[in-house]
Amino acid sequence: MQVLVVDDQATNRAILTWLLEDDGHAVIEAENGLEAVELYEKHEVDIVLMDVMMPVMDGLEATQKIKALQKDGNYVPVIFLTALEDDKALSQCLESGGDDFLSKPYNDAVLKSKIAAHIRIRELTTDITAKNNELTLHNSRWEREQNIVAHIFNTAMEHNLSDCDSLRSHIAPASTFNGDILLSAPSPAGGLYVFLGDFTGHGLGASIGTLPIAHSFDQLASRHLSVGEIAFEFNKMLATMLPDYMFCCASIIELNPQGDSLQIWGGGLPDAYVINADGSIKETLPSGNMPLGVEKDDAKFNKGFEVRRLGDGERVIFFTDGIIEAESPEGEFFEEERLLSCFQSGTKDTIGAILDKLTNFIQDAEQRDDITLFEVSAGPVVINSGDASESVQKNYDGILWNMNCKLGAEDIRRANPVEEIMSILGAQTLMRPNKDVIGLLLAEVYSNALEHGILELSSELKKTEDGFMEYYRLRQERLDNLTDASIEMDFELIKKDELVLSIRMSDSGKGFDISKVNNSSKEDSFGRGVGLINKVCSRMEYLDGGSTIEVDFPVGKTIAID
Amino acid sequence: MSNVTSNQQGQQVTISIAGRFDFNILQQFRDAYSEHAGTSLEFILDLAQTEYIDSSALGMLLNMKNHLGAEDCAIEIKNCQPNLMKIFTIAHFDKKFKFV
Repeated sequence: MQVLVVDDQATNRAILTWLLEDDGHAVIEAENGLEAVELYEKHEVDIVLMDVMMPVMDGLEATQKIKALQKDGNYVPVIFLTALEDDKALSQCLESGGDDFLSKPYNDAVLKSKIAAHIRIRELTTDITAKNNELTLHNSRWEREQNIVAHIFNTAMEHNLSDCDSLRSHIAPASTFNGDILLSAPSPAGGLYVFLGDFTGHGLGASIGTLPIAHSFDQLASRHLSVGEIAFEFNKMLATMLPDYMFCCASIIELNPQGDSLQIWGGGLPDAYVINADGSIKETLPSGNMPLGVEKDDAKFNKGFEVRRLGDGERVIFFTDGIIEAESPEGEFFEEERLLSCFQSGTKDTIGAILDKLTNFIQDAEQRDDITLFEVSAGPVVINSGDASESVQKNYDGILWNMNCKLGAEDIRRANPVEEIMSILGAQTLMRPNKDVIGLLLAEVYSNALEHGILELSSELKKTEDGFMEYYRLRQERLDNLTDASIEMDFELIKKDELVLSIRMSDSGKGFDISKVNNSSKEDSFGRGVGLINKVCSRMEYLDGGSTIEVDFPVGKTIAID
Repeated sequence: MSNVTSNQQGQQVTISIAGRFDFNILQQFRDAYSEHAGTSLEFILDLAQTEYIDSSALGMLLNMKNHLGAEDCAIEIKNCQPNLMKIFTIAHFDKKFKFV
């Protein structure tokens, strides 16, 4: 340690220096206060031993100046060595900023222990200052990172439908980051999907899992998967991604375009309620599954879901547990009973009633958990923000393309090529909403070409149940022995009045009498294929005596389901 | 791989089809209901695990209905996924089977 010894008496300085150097300290000497201040500025001083009465500048003034020079957090103790003994003089020493005093003549041992004690304080202070600085640094870094992450979350959550009359919701996170997640997306058929999830815990840790969910929800919705399938995909994702102790309680629903049927998959959230038009409870819907991310074995995951019919004015309300576990200032829980009391006959605005009750209950108590609820109501789904594949079609400015593939006997024998082709076509966003229908169309056109054109199977066979079996037995037998055949397919995206996927399929067979395939009654188990093709295509034409078929599929038009 | 399972509980026979519902499971599907022909059992088809159907599946369903001599909408189809429902609807199968 470097000690500044200030005394006008050379003898006093010499004794102190000798004493201190003997104890392992370095010593700087000053003859008066002014010199002391100058030396203090020049050197790194750890502790000051100060005489009071000195010429030029006394110890009190010098101490004031030295203390004024000390920077925040740099504690340099000043110990007065004084012959004065009256209380007034001693209190002056402390008022000037001194930290301690020792009366002359002093005892060596007392001096040494005082110095040691003040050095310990100085070290502690230095330590705390360093830690404080570190903390400040961490804080500002954390704040910066939090801003970045908040931005990412906000962008991710923007996938929500902003304006849909069938959906009302309320979201109140307990901190910046929400462990609850509410997502909504249009279904390709014109209905509505909603996902409500609650990750274990809250804050950043809990909300991390919401990112991949938000990211893939739109995609799964655009594939028009069932709520059970969506749950399956999310479970698979979360089971591999999240640590074992983390999972996500969730409900996933799909409201059909007419708004009279609701599909529900529930995993671990509190009961949902079907509400009558008058506001009373029609039915309680307990969740039937484990939360997402718990079941690690895909095969054991239950994709099944519930379906409920919704009559006029009926609605369904879903919650995360934040609401029943909300606490009053007295530490009491909100609980189910208070929630249920909001479902009164005559209550039009159930969500409003719940929120009023909750606000009155919580008052100024701190909110511990995220609170989220939503309500879907019966009636045709109208999405005002306007997704609509119609606009996709009108505004389509992508390239128009065509694709050709020719299958030989070996390709035809090997497997059904429809899936392979669909994996190519399905990759185009434009095709996605109707992927299932295009796949079906292609499968039907292909099986007609193969079964009637090349394998020369007659639909007449299918008239009886045994014949039906025989038909498919023959199909396999002839397919196995197929040596010389080909099917050629052309796909072309054409923009006329509407955007059309035109498919032309030619087979090497002799052609077949289309009327025989088409001429079936409703009860017959055959002839469905051609009917399906006719139903979904804007044009269907058989050429070359039945060995070529051309169909136009209006891409981007939602297939009406009546 | 497709898989047909049949499960009888009291008066109800539930036939579940996992994977693709097409002519490849023709025999399995027929076996699942044919032994119950002439009984007054209720039949339920659970399509929760069904990923795909084509027109041969429609034919197979009609065969089942005829084989059992079932009235329109006597056979229940449950947990039908929306993409499959689209196909059933296009084929007007909602007039022949009861979708729940």
